[in-house]
Amino acid sequence: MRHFLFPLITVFLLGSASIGCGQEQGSQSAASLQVPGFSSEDAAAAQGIGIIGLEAADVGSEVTLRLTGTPSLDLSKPLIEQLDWLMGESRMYCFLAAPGKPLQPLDVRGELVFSPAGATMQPLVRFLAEYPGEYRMLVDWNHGQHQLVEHRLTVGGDPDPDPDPDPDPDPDPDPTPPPSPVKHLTVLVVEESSQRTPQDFRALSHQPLLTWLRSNGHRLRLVDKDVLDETSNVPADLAPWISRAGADLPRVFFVDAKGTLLHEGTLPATGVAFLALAQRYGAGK
Amino acid sequence: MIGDIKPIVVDGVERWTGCKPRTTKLGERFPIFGGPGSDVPEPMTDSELAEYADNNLIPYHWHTVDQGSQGTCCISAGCGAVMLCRELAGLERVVLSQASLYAFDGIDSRGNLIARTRDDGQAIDTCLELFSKVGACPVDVINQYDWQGYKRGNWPDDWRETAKQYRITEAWDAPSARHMRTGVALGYVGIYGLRSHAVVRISQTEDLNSWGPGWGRNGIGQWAKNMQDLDNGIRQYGGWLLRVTTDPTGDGDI
Repeated sequence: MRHFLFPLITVFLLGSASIGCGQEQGSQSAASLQVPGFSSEDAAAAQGIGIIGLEAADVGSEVTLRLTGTPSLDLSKPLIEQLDWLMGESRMYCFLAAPGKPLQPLDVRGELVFSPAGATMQPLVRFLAEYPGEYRMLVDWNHGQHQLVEHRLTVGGDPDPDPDPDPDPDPDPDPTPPPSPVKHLTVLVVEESSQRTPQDFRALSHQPLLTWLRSNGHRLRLVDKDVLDETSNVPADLAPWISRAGADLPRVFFVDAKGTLLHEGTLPATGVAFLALAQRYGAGK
Repeated sequence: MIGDIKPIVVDGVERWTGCKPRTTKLGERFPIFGGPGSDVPEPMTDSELAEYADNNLIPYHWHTVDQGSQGTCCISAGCGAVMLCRELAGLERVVLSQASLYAFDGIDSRGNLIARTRDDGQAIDTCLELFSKVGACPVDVINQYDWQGYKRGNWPDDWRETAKQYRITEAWDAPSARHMRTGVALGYVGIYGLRSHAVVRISQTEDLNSWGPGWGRNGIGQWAKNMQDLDNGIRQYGGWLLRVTTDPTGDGDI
């Protein structure tokens, strides 16, 4: 029976650290720690780059995209000398165009992955999908060859429906349907109000959010986890939600008029993102 | 008028006040905001306050109390503050009656309500004690000006049961303008006194008054003209930050 070690993953921010590697990993010699398809001679050579990740995401969610085709690592050599493609003059640059926003640079993270087969440094980027619409991420990499790669991501539904001229002949037999906006939405925020940050309150007092909710018959309820009713007990109608929220506060629940949970998550970082999320689940006039 | 309150003239209009200096020591009735053992943050720095200068409770304002020609400014400000807290919590909009608590001078050592005999104003800390232990009633239960109706027996028998639904459950003593501004930037509702008048602090620089919607912008304007003014008022009359009110259990629907 063969035994494999689970990959050990180390993440560090580009430019924030240098890593020294040991000469041996387990019982394998350092010289043998190479990823299949790459030799130590290939370590500095760029491959055709690709971007792997979601093509659709919810408003307010954190998106992670992984870049492939980067050089392998030779653990018999100092790591810092092999990361010119990530940290040197020919480094990788990533940019993000959010809907209606100018192009912004993104931090590139290097995820050092050790596996029984060897070691790789996998670049990845993360960003918060704050606005509905199409996001475009561009990777500009001039290590060995000039490459410009794009990845598109639709957030909060397709803002520009464009019928697919070449539909998938074998669609997913059980796709998750998009939510149908409800007439009476309750947005319940369970918080420890003593821990509320000014950023939280800025999102919670976003005038367009409050106006939109009220004018469309929806409701925002801000509930302290220690709230009491007129008999000095936990309000019976709120108790299940306070319990469900647990210790990870603030917690946001979107609930319809029947008490059905439509969405659960963290408090969106901005009022704009909060409004976009509410508009996904609540009907407008 | 039964009492000692004399109107002041503001912008050519007679206005009533009625705030007395605080009666308790700092932190005696409610914990000090950001003080030792407090679970709320310490006051923000000037740069932090400037960064969050736009954080305010104005989006939650929906009703301006009018104290008329009575010295109910403390209870009126308290009603305004509780209505803001309730709006933050997403509770039903209910206009509260300042008379339902102005009928009392306070609570005696045995916990009994002391009936008021004169319209001679009140201290904010006395008002907040009444708000936390008794609560206010809606105006459709007790008319907002009928504080004398209590002694006359005009109030419904179950008014205290109703008032329990409109109590303050968490508040902090704010020792300075900086504490007050920090609390408001975090979404707490402030209340303070200055020049014999109590108002609600609704943003870092503006107040919600109880002179009806005709004062300022629908009742919102500057009572304290600057931070020194605010500090002076808080030192004499006190300043408090309210956070949570009772949330009556409904019928099972949130």
